[in-house]
Amino acid sequence: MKKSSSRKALLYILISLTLVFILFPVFWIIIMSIRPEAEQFILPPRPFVPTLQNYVTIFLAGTIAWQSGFGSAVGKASGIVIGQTAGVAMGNTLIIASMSTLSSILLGLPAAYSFSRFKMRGSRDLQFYILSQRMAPPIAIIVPLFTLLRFAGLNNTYLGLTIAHLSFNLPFAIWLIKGFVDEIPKEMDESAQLDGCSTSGIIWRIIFPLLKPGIAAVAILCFLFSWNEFLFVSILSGPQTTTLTVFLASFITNVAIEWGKLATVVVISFLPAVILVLILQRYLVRGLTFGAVRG
Amino acid sequence: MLVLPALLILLVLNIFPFIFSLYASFTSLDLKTFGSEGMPFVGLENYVNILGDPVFQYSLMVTLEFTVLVVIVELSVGLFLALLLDQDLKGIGPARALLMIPMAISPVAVGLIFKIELQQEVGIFAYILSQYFNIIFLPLSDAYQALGMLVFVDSWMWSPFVALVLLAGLRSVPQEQVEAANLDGASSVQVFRFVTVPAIRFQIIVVLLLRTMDAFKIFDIVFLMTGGAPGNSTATTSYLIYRVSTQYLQVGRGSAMTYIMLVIIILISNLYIRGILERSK
Repeated sequence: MKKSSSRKALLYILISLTLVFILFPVFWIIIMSIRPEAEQFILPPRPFVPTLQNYVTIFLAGTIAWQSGFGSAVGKASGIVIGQTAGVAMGNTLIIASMSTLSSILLGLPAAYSFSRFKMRGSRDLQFYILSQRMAPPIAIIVPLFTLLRFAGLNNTYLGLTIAHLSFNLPFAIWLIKGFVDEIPKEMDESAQLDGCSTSGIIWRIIFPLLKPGIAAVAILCFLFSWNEFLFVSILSGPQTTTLTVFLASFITNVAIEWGKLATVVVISFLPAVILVLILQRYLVRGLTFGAVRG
Repeated sequence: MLVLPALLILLVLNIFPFIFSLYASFTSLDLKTFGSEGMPFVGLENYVNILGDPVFQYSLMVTLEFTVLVVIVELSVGLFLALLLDQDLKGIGPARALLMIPMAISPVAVGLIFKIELQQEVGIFAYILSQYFNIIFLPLSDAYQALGMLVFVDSWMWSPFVALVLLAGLRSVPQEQVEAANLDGASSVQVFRFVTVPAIRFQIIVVLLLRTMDAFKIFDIVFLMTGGAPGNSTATTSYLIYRVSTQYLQVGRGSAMTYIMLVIIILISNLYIRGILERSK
């Protein structure tokens, strides 16, 4: 179909308007983060000299009031506590997200391979199981998980939070990687087997290199889910292990709000995620639809 | 052997909690009195109480209202966006990529972004609304504004996702069929209705299912933006369960609510799949 130039122009205008509509809120919060505090209340906004002061203070001295998810009945102090900087919260987020991503892949790839290659009882249940994961509100597993982690002495530790995040990342990783493994012809590992390769050798030396791009995408998605997760961390973490999302949410209860600083923390929390997503855009749709739709 | 470690973890992390909550839902487990009373079995008492509880019924209604609104808005906006981006124009690739930004941002951060920008005195949107539309935006005292705000924020986050999934479908619509229909004198509306929509039926089902399930569980932005206020007008079921389990510490009651919710989600999902599959026959 030929497109007239006026139709083209109209399309460009519509697309630009849409993008402005979608990106403006994000753009504006970035502007707020580099606006001097004195300018925040001036509307309509006037030109100003941008400053990185907020970023400096947030990383060095931003404090939060932190409140526990459960009351003291379960043995955890409730109440407002503890100074905490965004830098620490960001470090925590990074540690927990990396650990849960790494373990999802290390545990998920062998499992995905087995589900794909061997006809096992329960393979079909996996699909239903993953779907039910998606349906159940996460709050359903919080209380038992809390009890479990407490029993194991893992409350308020990186390991505990990593494990909690595995509850959604591991099934996700297994499911998506299984889809990738399905696409590799079986002859591939059969010939490797003839050459004397063990099963784990096949997985890590044959399958893994072939799936690198796909696994990278799964890893980045797992990382994102963990990075953005709120509910588990809000209940299972303490002041030392809290992550950026909980750090952010704690700001709303503060009485005197410094808008510029708040905006800065918001920007810090989403910038890494946005950059990652722009890198892996090819896989995002497939990942978020659990492999059902190939974008 | 290879699946064993993964299965073990899934068992502990996912299966155990579900069985535990199912059992807890038949007990009057309350963390305030757990030490002295334990978990007394009460049969169906929680379920009976909850189903007759106006607060719970109201939360279901709010959740349903939210879900219906969000799914309608996101599907129509998403479809419009997808059609808009399904063009061979220069620079369309980066435009599609930029569309992914809202999905990357955590619901908590999105909630805060809009909370700040809709705030009286500092918020740019609050300013625009009052200056040009004469609307004083105070979602915490107006139930309609509060629900509207949540629907808007969720749609902002997820309409681009809907668009990208539908776009993946549109890209695979066979061009010969479109051309054949054009030759037969079909109008563009007819082509859309009889060629395009059937061709992307699968993508539509997937997106409807995912968005319905997620919207029904909505928690993060409610927690952050309204906290259920004003009154209980935006207290969705997930939020109510959170409150009951972690603030009132009535875990038994909360678990029963969770299971009722789960059953409703499963029923709705089934209706979707069946309804759409049957109509296509």
